Amino acid sequence: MKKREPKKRYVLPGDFITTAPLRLQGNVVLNGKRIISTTIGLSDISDDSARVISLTGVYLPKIDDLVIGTITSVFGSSWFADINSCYQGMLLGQDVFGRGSYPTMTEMKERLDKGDIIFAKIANSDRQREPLISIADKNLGRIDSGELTRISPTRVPRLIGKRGSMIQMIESSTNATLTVGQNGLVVVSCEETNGLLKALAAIRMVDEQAHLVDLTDRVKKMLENDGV
Amino acid sequence: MGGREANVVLLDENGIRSDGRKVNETRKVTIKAGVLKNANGSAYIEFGGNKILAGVFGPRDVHPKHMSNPDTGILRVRYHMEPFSVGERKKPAPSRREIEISKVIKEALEPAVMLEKFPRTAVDVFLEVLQADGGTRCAALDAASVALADAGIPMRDMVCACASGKAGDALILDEESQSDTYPTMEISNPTCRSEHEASVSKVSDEQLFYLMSRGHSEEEALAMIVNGFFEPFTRELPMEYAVELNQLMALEMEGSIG
Repeated sequence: MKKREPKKRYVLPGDFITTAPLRLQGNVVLNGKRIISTTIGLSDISDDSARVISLTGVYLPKIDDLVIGTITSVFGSSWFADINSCYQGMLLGQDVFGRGSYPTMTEMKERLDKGDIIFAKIANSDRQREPLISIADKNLGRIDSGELTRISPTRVPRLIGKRGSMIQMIESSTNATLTVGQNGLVVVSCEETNGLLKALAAIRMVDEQAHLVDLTDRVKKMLENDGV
Repeated sequence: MGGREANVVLLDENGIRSDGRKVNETRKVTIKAGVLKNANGSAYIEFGGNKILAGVFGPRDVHPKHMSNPDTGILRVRYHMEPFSVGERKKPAPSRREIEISKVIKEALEPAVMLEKFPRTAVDVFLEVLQADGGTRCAALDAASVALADAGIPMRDMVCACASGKAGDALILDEESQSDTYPTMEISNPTCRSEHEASVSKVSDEQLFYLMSRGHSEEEALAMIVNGFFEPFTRELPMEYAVELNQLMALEMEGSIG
């Protein structure tokens, strides 16, 4: 079988991608037989599917995504967290204190208060209700220290890289620990100030140059050159 | 508004428009995306003499809450002309015209924007006309569509628009504001009976206030505005008739305000 044009193309909303009968994966719609892009991004046609890798946009919660959020309010027996989306994440009290428990407001505030940063998982997200988040798992919960930065949610896959190559590279060359939320929030913690600054610069670079090729090499070069 | 001079040449016999363009030429268009830092998406368009800034916010929470739709997101558009965008200062409050243009632009964008992906949210589009020179609503729509794409809101297609109008007998696209102001009308149905149309409206308070601020009394100002409408007609009449008509008009209007 002949390989269909493997190169990625820049596309705008309404741009024609292909006519082939492919599975529609993301950011594309079918118009008759033509597959049309719905966003600014890079078209990606694989053997059986077509999609557009978006370069702009907001975060939409998906089940099982790991996100970083800020508690905005404590409400009855649940918390609401800003998860950098158009919806607020709802964290139920029973998720933290166990089922059948009725925590008081003071108990709730002691555990998590307004302004606390949490690392959470999207437990449920449907069109009817606010997305439900959960911190009942290891590695999840309140983040006590680190530097919080924000990148575009569409850049997160670039920051992680193929099989985590980018994030591993940044971590190993700066001795920092990166906690990346799918919603575009990143917590960087590092013992040394220099490493912290370098890691932050690398993250900013990924955010600005995500559309370019050989990004890992560029970041690597930047991290090596900008040493001390 | 303004003088209704019938002798303005919008399109001369060589097919050159009043601003020097050929019939089939558009004005120069420049669009820049991502000009506002705090907006989710933004665009700035220069369309000939038009300069328009568009900002898109959202999808975000809907306030007031009762406006939200559980099935789909909603689109809100505000088209606004800056007071300094036109020759004479425009009052900054939204006029009827601006409210209507906001609605028209919203309805042009709605079928393209896939709001059903964001139930219970709103996408706000703000369009600020910094300088106006005819066809602002079309230029604003173009800018809005670029700003929406910049915000990453899924769209079935980009939306674009172009103004059209008549210059003499010719239909032309992308008019300038001068062509905006002098409309002509033609009835091409040979069987229909057409008569003089009289439109009844109140004299604009804005115009009245403007003349009064220049030292005319209210009555004088009113007479001047009404006479202004007759002027192209009276000019065609022989001198003595014209004078008589003017005096008759003044007599008729004496003591009648509004």
